[in-house]
Amino acid sequence: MTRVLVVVEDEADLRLLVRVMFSNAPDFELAGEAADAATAIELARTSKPDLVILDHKLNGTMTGLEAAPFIKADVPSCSIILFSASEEMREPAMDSPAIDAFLIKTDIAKLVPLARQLLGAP
Amino acid sequence: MNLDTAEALGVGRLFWLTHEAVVAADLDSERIVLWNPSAERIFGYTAAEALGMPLDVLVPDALREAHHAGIRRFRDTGEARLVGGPPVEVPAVAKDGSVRTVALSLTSTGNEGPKRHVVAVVRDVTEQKAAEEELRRTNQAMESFVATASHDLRSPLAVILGFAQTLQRREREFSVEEQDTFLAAIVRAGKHAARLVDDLLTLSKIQAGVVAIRRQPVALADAARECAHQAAPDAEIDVDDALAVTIDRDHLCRMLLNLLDNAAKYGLPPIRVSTHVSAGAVDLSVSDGGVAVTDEFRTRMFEPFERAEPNNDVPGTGLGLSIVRGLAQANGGDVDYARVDGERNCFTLHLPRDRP
Repeated sequence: MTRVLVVVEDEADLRLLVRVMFSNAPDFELAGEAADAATAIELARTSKPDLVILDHKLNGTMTGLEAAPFIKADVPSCSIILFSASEEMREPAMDSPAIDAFLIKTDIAKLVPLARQLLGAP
Repeated sequence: MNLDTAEALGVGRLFWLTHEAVVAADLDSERIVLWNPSAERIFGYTAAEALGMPLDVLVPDALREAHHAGIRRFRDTGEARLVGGPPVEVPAVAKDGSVRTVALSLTSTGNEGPKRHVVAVVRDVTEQKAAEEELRRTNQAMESFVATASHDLRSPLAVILGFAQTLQRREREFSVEEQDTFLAAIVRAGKHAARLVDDLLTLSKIQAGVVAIRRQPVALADAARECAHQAAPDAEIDVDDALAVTIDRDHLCRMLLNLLDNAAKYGLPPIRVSTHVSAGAVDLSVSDGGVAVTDEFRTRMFEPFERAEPNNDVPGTGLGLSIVRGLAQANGGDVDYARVDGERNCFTLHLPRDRP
């Protein structure tokens, strides 16, 4: 059983990187990508992902942390990883009931293992 | 009378020497009966003006009611809240109407029961408080600067690490095209990180006021052509070949490159470099035909890490304009932005003109 993945990231090279990393993980299927919160919320509504990898700083005015509750409201069963370059976001992420895990971007090698850990065995 | 009062209240000769204001008031009349030279310096009233003046003239309006209640309580019952306690910081009004922050210690004469006088020792801490506030603001700005800088460095590092580790692990075979794509992303991210580190270093030197300046006569047309060649090859250079200013050439080129680079990235052609010469200065402008900068962005455009729109599809460190302003000011000039002719964005470097 594959799990549906949505990637929300404003930097094109990082979107590509996440796509490549999950292309090596056959238990995941990428449903779509977004670079801003509004597109991300709409994409989650339509694709009902199991996992959203959500950058905090996005194009547009809404942040990932702000977008997370909207995504969770539409798809309560999905897990959200806040994937940020700011260590300062760790605490707000842990405090947010909409966010399931925090990963600092330089630990990107842990992204796929963390996704599997959150979602359990396929 | 002033000196006699000082002796009578046991304040003695220190009264004349101390840097702290020594002020005593009669509790019945609530008028000042003692006023030393330091009180004159801090509050601006001479002893002749202050003696006999109501004490509450020194108290800001908002605190007067509490002030009177405290005096009455102390006079009638001897119950002290501030008297005999540690110094408290309170606002006080000087003769010129300015509000000073003072550290106030109150003592009294006599022992038990109702009191006749209260003696205040007052140290002006206005400048000290302002310096503390300035230090607090500087620390806060530095913390936020470091947080933003580390955030902006982590993103390219994540790209470098992620692609390098992906290639290293060989979880599957990547085609040559795929590998080239990954390597190109690594190089882009490496260059971005290197640029960011350079910009951060330049900006921190500017902010610390330790930029080395090597002034030399620089032909503006030459410098403009050289920079345009790198950053905006199609730019029109409308600068007199004979026009020169004395400035650090590297700094001038860095400013021009940043402005031309911005015009090429965010503006629209035609990009134009032009000058306006006046008695004291040469104005060197870089303009483009892009959409106007918002009023909101105008207020913060020269601050570090500010970008008009945080759109990461257009690479940039958000430090370019803050570096331009810092280098312009370090060279005795400045920079500003204006919308000209209703349709062009124009950044102008005001450079001090050579003395003939």
